[in-house]
Formats: sequence, C-alpha cells, structure tokens
Amino acid sequence: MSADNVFQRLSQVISRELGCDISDIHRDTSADDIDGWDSLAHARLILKIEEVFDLRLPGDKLFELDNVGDLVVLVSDAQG
Amino acid sequence: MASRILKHVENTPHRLFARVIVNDEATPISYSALAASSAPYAAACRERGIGQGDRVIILFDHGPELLFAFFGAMFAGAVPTMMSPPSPRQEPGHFWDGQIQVIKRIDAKAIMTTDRLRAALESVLPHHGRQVITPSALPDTDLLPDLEFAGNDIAFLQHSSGTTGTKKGVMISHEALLHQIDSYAKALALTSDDRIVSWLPLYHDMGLIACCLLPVLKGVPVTLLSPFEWVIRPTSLFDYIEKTKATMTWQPNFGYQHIVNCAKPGDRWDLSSMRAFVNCSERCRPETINGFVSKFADMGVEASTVQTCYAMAETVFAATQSDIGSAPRVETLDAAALVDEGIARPSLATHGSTVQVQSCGRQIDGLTVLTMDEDGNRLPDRRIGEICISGPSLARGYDRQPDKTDAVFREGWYHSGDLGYMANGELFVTGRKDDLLILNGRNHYAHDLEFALRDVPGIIPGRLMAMSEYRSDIGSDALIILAETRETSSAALKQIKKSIRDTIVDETGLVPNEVHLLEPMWLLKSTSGKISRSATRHKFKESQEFIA
Repeated sequence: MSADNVFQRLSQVISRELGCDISDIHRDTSADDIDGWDSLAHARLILKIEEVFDLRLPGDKLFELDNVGDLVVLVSDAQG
Repeated sequence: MASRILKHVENTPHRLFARVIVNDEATPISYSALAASSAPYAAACRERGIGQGDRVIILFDHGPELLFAFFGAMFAGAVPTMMSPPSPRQEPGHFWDGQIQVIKRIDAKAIMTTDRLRAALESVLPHHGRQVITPSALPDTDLLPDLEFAGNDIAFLQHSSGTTGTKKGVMISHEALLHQIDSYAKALALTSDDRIVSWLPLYHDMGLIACCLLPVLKGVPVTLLSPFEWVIRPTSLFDYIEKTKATMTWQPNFGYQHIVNCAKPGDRWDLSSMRAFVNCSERCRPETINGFVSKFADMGVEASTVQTCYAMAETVFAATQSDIGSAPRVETLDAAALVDEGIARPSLATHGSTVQVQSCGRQIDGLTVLTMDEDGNRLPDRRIGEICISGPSLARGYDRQPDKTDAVFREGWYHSGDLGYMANGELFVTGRKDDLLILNGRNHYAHDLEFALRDVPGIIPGRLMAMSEYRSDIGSDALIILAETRETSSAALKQIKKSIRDTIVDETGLVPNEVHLLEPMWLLKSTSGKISRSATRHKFKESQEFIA
C-alpha cells in the first residue's frame, strides 16, 4: 500500500476513533492538535490501527511519534 | 519501618520481594538484594552528610533503581519523596520549574536521579545547589547504616499530583504507616500466599502504599509493570496475573475501563487466581465494574472479586475497604432528593430520575469515617456531608505548609473535601465540595488550570472555566475548558483553541477532551463576582450554544 493510501486510511481511523473532522487531519497534525488525544485514546487508536491494517506495531516506537506523518511511516514500515 | 524490612532480610533473605518488568524483561529482587542494592544509596547520603529528617527527591523512570534509591534514602534516615518523571508531552521548562518549586519548598538536600534526568535538570537549571546522587557514582558497599527511628519521625513525603504551585507534600510518619499497613492488610485478609501485580506509578499513593510498602512489609511478592508500557498495552496486566498466578491488583476506575476498551475479541487469560481487583482513587462506577465483570466472567472474574476502596495520602492510604469475598453494594437513589435535599433516599422507581452510587466498604480497623455538615456536626446515616476521617493513620500534615495543614486537619479530623453519606456502616462517595477535578485517578484543581491559561491571547481575561464531566466510555472524568472570546473569525477561533490545548499540555501534561469558545458574558457569575461553577456547569449541560 502506498504512503498516500496509508495516510488516507489512517485519517479515516483517527477521525472515527477520536471524533474529529477528517479535514483537520494532515501529515503534520500532532496529538496536541486534536481534543482528547491523550495517552489512553492513543492506545485505543493503536489497537484500532492494528486491527484495520492487520499488523502489530512495535511498542517502543508508539510514544515517539511527533505527528500523523510519523504514524504513516511506522505503519508503512510494519507492512514491510 | 526499616527494622521490619530488615527482619525480612534476616529471616527470609532469598524470599522474592519484587519482580520489576521493563520491556518484558523481569528483574527479580529478593529481600537480601533489596538491602544490598539500597546500601550504596544510603552510604551516598551519609557521605554527603544527609541524614535524619533531610528531604531527598527520588526521580527515576520505572525500574529497580527507583526502589533502591527510595529505600536507600530511608535507611539513611532521610525523608524520601517520589516525584513523577517528565511526561513526554509536557514542555520540559514547565516540568522542571514545577520540580524546582517543590525542591525549594521542602528544602530538599539531595536529588537521586539518573544521569539522563540529571543532564536534563542541569540544562534548565545549572545552579540548583542540591547534591545529586546517580547510580553511576555510588559508593561500593552493601552494608546498611544502623539507625533507630522514633515512631513519629517522618518516613516519607507523599506529593499530591496537583500542578506546580499546589503540590502538597503529605508527611507520613513511621507509626502512621505501620498502623495503615497492619490495619489494611487485616481488611484485605492478606497472607503470605498472596501475590500482587501492579502497573501503578510509585509516585502515586496507591502505587507506593498498596503495591510497594504493603508487599515489602508483609512479605507478599509483587510484580511491578511500567505505567508507560501499560497504557499502550493495558492487557499486559492480565498477562502477568496469569504468569504469576496473582491474587490482587489495584487501579483507578479508568484502568478497568481502559482494559475493557482494549481487550480484543478472542483474547483469553486465566484470571481465576484473583481474589481482589481493587477499584480506588477516583469515583468507583457501577457501570464500569459491571462491564469489567461481564467482559471477563468466563476467564475467572466474578462480581465478588471486584472490590472498592476509599483512600487518600492524608490517611496514608485506605480509609475504607469493601468486604473481601463479597460484591460491593450499589444503591439506587432518588436523584432529586440527593441534589435538592442532600438526602440519599433509596428509590424503587422504574421511572423518573435515579442515580446509582457504589459502596466503598467499611472503615478499616482503628479509623473512624463519618460525614459532617458545614458546622462540623456529625450527620446521621443517609445525609450528604463532607467525609471526615480520624485515627492513627492520619498524616502529620503538609510539609512546610501550615496554613494548608490547618485548613483540613482540624481537631483530630481530616476533612477530605469529598462529599458522601454513610449507610449501615458503609461509605458512599457522591462528589466534591470544592473545584478539585479527578482525572484518571489524579487530582488537579480547576483554578490551577485556569491560572495556566491566563495569558492565552484572544480569551477575555478572567472569563474561563475548567470543569470535568464523567464519561462512561473512558471510565473517568473528561477535562472540559470553557472560555469567552470576542473573536469571531474561524481562523482566530481555531488558533485560540489550539493555544488553549498547547498551554494545558505544556504546563500540566494533561490533554483537554473538549475546548469550547463562548461569546462574551456566557459564563455565569455569582453575587461575589466570581464565576459560578455550579450554575455554569448546569448551563453547559443544558445548552450547547458555543461559537467554536
């Protein structure tokens, strides 16, 4: 899957899980830009991403993400 | 306390005290290893002239050194206090400013920390003037100093989680701690066959008392998981319950909901070894407990294994505990009588407004728990009042804050600020008297959060309010910020909301769940000219007329 496709699917998942407008999600969007994106919501979001993309993300990287663009890279790398 | 631990070291040196898990790697610590590895920290204190009564900050990430430093400082006769390490999202300057305020207020003589955190501290504040003790430069010894403690000596300070200016160091004496440990162990029917698993941070009273000092003093092995790792993989708690055949764990209400939210269909664990999942440190919610029991019922979780407790650092920890082996009672009350008359009247109505309240159990041995009216009169059963506690577990007050101590420790009673009622010896908690917000088991005052936002451009000065509302999907209160503005353009409104979020995150590490911008004069004021929290909260619930 291309990075653009990963970004589009991720945007849908983030929008649905966090209840925000999909138009507010960009590659440079960080958790601080979205209401309620705290560490607990982050955990729920990661589980949903793993389910949707059918993969497991490396636990030690999950709190090092600066923005959605980093998440795209992490998911793309995990897809191999 | 030290002599009790040393008895375990002498009598059962090879017995497991703790198993510390970092990145799924376990480090077992026996009692003899605890003593031997704490000794260098104690020696480092003594070499620097730090001893009886001197305050020592303990600032470590999750790991064995955190335990060695804490007990080492205590064995040296000093008064350790655990502080939370920096949150990745909090702006470092704000984090260290907060630490420095505490360090100065308690006149800490030393900071025990890692080389990494030392470098971070000294990049912000090169001339802090305190001794720093790190694991990389400790004396080579495994001998502990021989010290005697008086019962009323302070064993440690338990710092509250409030924002910078309002952190309070609760002074816990050795005798208060030992009373609490013995009395609480009796309420739990704790035996040396028990095994505890916990992900709680040790800078939180529930983590330190229930999941570190209770085990070490009672000879009950504990498995300590990283709070950081638990948040992202909350079912790791179940992995270790199954692996260690654990019998007890503690977590706030939101922790149970987080596990329910994150357990995947098809995941299975054998949880039948558990005899108490204790729910404590924020309001225990019947719907969360029911959801937890029903989700994991076929894995060994029964209603009678989910327990409740009412606890706070000012009583060392537990004031009440539900009866182990029985499901805590839930009462259905007439909502109007509760709000309008302050009476907890059971309701059998199938229609009309009712509210469910969870029992927190009975007072533990030696403590008296009751409710008082505003004049300090004891209230009868089922009358809502302030929950007050007296007995030998009471703290000695707040370190170097006599005004704050006198405000809540009066005539032998601790006035908690929590509202609730007693019924047949059981305590039911219904709310708060003041503007304390309890978010994911940690306490924050609304006025601190409002103060943090005082300079956000675009907000009308003084016209904002922080509040919280319970949300069942997260099992805790959500943080909501309301602020008035004269701006109307969508770009300006978006920028103000972003500034509010950024400021709260930078200064406190909290993340607002909702930020609402309001037109001027939306917030309601009381006759004294202050924002009326109750009236504004009511208006917020009734109206959703926000401009952004």
